[in-house]
Amino acid sequence: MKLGVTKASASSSYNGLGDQLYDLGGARPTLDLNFSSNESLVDSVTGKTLVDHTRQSSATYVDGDGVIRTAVTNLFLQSEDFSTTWTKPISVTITVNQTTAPDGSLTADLIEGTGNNNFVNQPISLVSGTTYTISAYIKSAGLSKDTFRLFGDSIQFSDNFTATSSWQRFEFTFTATATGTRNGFVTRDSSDNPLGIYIWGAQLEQSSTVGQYVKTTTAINSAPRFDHDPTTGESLGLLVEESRTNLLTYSEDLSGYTKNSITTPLDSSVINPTGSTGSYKILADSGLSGGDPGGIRINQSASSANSIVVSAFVKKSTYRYVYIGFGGLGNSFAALFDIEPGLTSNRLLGQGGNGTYTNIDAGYQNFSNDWIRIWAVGTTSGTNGPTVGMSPDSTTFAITNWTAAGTEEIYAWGLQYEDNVSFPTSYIPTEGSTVTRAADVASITGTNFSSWYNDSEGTVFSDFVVNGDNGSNQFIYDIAEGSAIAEEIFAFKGTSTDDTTHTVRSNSNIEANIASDNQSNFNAQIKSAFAVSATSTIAAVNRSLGTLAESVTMPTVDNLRIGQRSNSTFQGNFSLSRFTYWPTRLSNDTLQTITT
Amino acid sequence: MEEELLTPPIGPFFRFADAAVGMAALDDAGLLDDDQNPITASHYHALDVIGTIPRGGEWDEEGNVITEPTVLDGWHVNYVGELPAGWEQYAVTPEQPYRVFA
Repeated sequence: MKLGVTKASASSSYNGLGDQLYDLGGARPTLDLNFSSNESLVDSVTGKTLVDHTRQSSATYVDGDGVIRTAVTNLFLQSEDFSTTWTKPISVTITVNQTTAPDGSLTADLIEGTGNNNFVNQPISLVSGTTYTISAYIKSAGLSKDTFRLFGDSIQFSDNFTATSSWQRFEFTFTATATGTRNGFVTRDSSDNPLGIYIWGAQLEQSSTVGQYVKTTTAINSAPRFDHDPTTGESLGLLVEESRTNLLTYSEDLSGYTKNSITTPLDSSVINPTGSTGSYKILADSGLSGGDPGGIRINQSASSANSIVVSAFVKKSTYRYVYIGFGGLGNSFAALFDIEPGLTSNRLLGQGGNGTYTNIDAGYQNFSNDWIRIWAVGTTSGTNGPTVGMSPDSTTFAITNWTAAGTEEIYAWGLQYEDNVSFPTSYIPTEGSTVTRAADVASITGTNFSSWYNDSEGTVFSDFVVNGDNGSNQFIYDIAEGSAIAEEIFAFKGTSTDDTTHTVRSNSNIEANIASDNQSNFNAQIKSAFAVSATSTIAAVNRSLGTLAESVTMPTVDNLRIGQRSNSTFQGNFSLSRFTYWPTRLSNDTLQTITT
Repeated sequence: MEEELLTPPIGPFFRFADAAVGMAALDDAGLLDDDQNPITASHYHALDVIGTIPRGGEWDEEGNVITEPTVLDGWHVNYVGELPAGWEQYAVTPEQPYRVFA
């Protein structure tokens, strides 16, 4: 989550290379992942998708309208290889990689059957009453066996479809009738005619509509997220986050929380941060609050010896002074906010607490429809757990008992408790269990890598915002040999106020280690350029040049990892606006220019 | 087809006898880094180490235990990806999972 970032824009005349950054660099790059502009993984130089992105769970992001969206997750495994994992009868033959797929790769398979019992399916775990959509790209194989059906829940079938000589994406939406493991995908038509079709890109998603296609192999996969500033709508680029867990079991349904001198009525018509309707409210009882645990608030008991991050989306109904924190009257930390719509001054009024506590951090983001995501970070021995409540005024920063009129009311939605961390991450919905969002991993390998990389020299440009300090180095990128760490060119953001560091390693020796000059803050734009050659290696960050390394053994590398070190450690949390590579060592002046 | 007997997918819930057994299984599966920390993500897997799962418990506002929590048997992880060898024996299917992947 990025707060209050102002993006600098380099000024330059257009010199005809097709892009301002290319002009500033003086040459066209061989790779340009312009995530914030394209809002896709497509390389602007080749027009191809060279990046593999995976995240084995769903996740949320902010769209251009400032609304919380959920990334599409493909629940089918092996979406482009029907020779493994999928189930079929003996009467069906699957021949892999028989024709060009819709993405231009030779990965579409032929499914050909005989007799009257043809199908290809996969066991899928369904939840009763939940709506799913199955889809696939299908084309005629010229075998006059072009009719088929999609099916789900083992017993629900689409109407007959007919494949044509062009790729078409067919879809079938159904609602599960039972919870458990059922079959689904493609089967013979309603007249039991045999199958004979090309097929690619099978997808099962928990949705009533078909979403963007997401490739899977041995695990489910969820689409990359291209995040936006919820206030301005600005495109921030590829969102990369570490694995995090929301330890609250109900993030949107407040009815089960402990209620302290309040009720939690449901407003089914109010627009919530997802753009759909429905949110609980917190309505104060009239009179002096009291008792145990006290205050005017909801809470859910929990304790932690760690740094705690609590966050929630709140919106004014009738009342403006809202706190979020952890603990209760005895021991707690809290941060108080003014959620008055349209307020232009700082909404964070102050931080405080009771008993044993520390305040570490607090902040907020404005969302559409007057929703505000507020958060607080701290430690406390309090055991009342995460809490959201109302304060009597703009200056009482700690949980307290006070006398309410009974009309004070706020909306509260999307509560999140992340433990042993120091900053909030994207919203993780929960409904009955604690929920973990898996980490984002992105890479370029094989010919997708060798097609743009130069072994002897090059310059890497990256434009990013690191979203918080996780107490560890956070790798922005690592150009390496396989998953080893003996041969590498990488950049990472250090902890606390540490610099962004650029390193070349060869044969496990550090050949160059170039730190920026205190130009790297969290939640601020960082433009980095790392120019590497055997005789002249240097880095610039936000125009500031590091120290030149004049003798470097160039590493032997074969892949690019984004957001992790090549050995899957040092996960980053950042928005990557752009990643660009020139196969030449750009001049120092140019490095300063492109990072301005 | 409608009456076909299905083999449910294995995972993502796994229970080991204790932390030592669990960490050894993670190590055997190549899911620990050089510092013996769990590798939580790659292109091929996601791992969420839960550890012990408490149930209930009550504390006062000073943190004193009023009612001791109970702890479910075992040491727990959630894992998705290609199944490491031998992990079938550790798979469990809780009716109400303590934690799930998003």
